[in-house]
Amino acid sequence: MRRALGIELRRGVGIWTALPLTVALALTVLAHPREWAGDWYGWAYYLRTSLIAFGPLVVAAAAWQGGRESRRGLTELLSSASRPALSRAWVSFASPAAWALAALVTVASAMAAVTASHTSYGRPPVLLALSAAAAVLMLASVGFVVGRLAPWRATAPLLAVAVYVGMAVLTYAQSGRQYLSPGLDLFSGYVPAPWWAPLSAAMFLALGVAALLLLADGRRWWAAPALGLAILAAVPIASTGQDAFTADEAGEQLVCARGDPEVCLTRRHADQLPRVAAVVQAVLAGLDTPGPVVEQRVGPGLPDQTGTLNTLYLGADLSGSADLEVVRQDAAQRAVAWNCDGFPSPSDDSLSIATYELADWARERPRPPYGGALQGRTPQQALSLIKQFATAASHCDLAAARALLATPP
Amino acid sequence: MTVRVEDLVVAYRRSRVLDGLDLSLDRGVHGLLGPNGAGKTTLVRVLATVLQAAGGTVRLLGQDVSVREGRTHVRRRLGYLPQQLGYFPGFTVREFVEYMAWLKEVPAARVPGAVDEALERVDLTARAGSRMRTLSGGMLRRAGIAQAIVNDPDLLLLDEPTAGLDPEQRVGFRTLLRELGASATVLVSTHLVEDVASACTGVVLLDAGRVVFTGSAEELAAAGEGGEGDTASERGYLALLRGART
Repeated sequence: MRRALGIELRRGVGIWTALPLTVALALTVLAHPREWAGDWYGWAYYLRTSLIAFGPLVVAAAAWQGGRESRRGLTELLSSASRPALSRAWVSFASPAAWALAALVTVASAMAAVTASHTSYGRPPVLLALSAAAAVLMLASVGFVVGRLAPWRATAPLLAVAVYVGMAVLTYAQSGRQYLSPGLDLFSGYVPAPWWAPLSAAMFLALGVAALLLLADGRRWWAAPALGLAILAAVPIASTGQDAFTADEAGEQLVCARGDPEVCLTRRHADQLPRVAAVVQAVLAGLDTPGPVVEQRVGPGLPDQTGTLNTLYLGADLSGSADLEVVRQDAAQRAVAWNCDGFPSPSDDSLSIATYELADWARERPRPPYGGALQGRTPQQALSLIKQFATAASHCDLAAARALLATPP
Repeated sequence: MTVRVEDLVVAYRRSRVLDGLDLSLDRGVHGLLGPNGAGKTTLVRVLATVLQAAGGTVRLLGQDVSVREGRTHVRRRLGYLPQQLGYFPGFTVREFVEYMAWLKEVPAARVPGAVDEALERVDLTARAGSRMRTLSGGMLRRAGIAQAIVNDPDLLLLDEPTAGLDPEQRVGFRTLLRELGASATVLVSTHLVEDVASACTGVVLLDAGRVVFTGSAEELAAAGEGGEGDTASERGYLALLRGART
């Protein structure tokens, strides 16, 4: 077995797909570093999310390998050999599956290295990451079996498209079924119940085994118990849905840096606090921001803070650190944010433009001369205007804001 | 008897390709002759256990191949070279033969030696590290023979094994056949009557899905005295066919 396995790993389709798969997965995660960098749950969830793009490629590679014997005219010769069809299939399947796993492990390790170097909170949720690996095996298994049963050249690309569409629909189904998708899309503030990740992994593995057992010559019924196990695992996952997740309460606790204003981040991002606080306090210096500026938190049971004043969106750059430019931008916009529904609106163009100009000034603190709403003002006068404007904006007092802008320096 | 076939029927759709065929073979090299469409390849495929009979009984190496266990037993002791040899182009010759040895459940410890021996017997040792896609037609045929004999089979089925071989290789192949026939039952399906005449101890002549002659190569040659054909074997072949059809 080891010798045949070695030959398949060296000469099968898998080795040719390993590099493209790794690059595709790496590009996917590099395109969305804010979703995962610097946060262990973000890391694990994004491994699952990235399967929406990675999974169809795995399925296609496996389908190509599955159809190889037939395309090469080897079916008759191989079936004249005594080795059972299932062990033949298993060895052949190992090629795309092992190399897809290698791609996943490579990228996951690089992501983990980035995350580990930028967070001191929490530990890698290994079981969640393993559920991503189990999903990859399942996808490879399904692809291989479909390729074996429909060994045409068109099977692999068509199957890839079908899996992409199917997985996207399932992932964003807005029901308990979405948690069955390999490409799970969750925020890092969600913590699954202890049973969830093992059950998810078991479901994928059972489904993969069931698919492979369909190739057991004369013993296809073996697939039924495996499929039954997959269904048994799927039922609690789908029926529990989001209720299987709780907020990461320990991770969401705030750690604050004193100053003007006080800046608070969650424990998950506490390592970033000195750098973030320095940036936020530089932007908001002298603006008398009421209360602390707090990192925006997302998770089940937590209040929706989207658009709330004094909350901070903490992006992350490719190094896993908070993206200080995003922080600077967000802090400046919060400084003059309007506390009323739907404002600034298109009908309030002049106020809208002025709001952006004042936010830009707070962010950059440029030297005079100024244009627009701050034309003819000194830095002290600009600061004073912004403070008063911020007060009017926080009370949704449009008339007061217009009056301020109309007042000469 | 290594091969005992009784009243074998194989049908494709409504047409009977093999129609009540009886055949018994024992150790030695047997040539399977017949015109196109006589059912040679179909018979070889049935004996290779890749095609199921619609009727009759097939016992190989003492096993009933209609039963799973019997089939598995036979496959372990079987060597088969199909008419169209498929291969994985990226495999080296050694890997291809090793892979087939694994599929035939050759014990792991014996595989390296068995592969070396098979490659040596078909004179491919020097090309063992070459990729299959780089081989000429004749070399591919020899690689096919190597995989067929890697498990030291008791029953060896070769469908058109000399197709693509040059004269020197064919002479070498006939010598190999004689060696193999000393310890195994070898059935060689071919169009080349001279291969049969020079390498086979027995001859089976098929026509229209039935066996019309079984005997020795000498008996085949003797059957055609005074008839048409360039060699005695060809004359015998043509005479027997003509006789079967009248």
